[in-house]
Amino acid sequence: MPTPARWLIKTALLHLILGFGLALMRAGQVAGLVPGMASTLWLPQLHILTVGWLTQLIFGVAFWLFPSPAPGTQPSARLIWIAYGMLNGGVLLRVGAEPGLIPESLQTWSLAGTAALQWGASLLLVVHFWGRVRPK
Amino acid sequence: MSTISIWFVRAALVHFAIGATTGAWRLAATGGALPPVPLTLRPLHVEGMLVGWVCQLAFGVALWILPFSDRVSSDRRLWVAWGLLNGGIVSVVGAQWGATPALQIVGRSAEVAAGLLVLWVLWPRVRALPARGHG
Repeated sequence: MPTPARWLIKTALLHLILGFGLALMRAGQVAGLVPGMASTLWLPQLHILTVGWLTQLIFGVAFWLFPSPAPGTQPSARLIWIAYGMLNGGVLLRVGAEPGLIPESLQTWSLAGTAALQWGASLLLVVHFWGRVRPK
Repeated sequence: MSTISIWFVRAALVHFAIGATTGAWRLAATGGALPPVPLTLRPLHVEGMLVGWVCQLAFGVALWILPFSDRVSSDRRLWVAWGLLNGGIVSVVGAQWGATPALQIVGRSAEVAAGLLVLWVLWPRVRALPARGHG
């Protein structure tokens, strides 16, 4: 299995645990055992599971499984690493940037930052994989 | 990769790019960095990501990778399914745009029909093969 695939899949697994952990914490908040409001972390938990886990797992498996790019069209390996950093940075910043967890003055730019990071990662991944969706 | 899978997977990538763009806009708008996403565009994120991206990608990869994929691209049921699925997504999003519940029903019906067609093709392909030492 190529190195980027292994990093994407292993990081996806870590996100799965983080997502389940947040769900457990929210359950504790609902039961009154953990301080805080359960609704605060609902959207970050959803994004950790859908972006950090599911989407990252998909692209990790696709990196390993999809046909190689046509000769002479090999995209730079740097592209996938930049996408990896942006995707994970964006998802983790999403947790920290949730309104209610940081000062209001920082919310605008932290939410814009997490949006830009995840959007940039998504486009880089599409660019990388587009040429690999082809006959073997 | 078979031709029909290429169409499903590339369409899924297009939905992913559109869904991610709408989602990023919504997120940035939550903090006030961008103007709010119009209500009519919101299904582009949820519908596009859930049906257009995840379901469609799964269809494309399954058609390619499950056993007995020879001549799968010449199966007309799958081309109809591709059209119904993507037409259904466009209809569901368009229904929100024009606030027309009838179009929503048309779109959802098309998605159900697409799912049934893919099920019809894939069901007999999900079966045991001669053992190859997997234990």
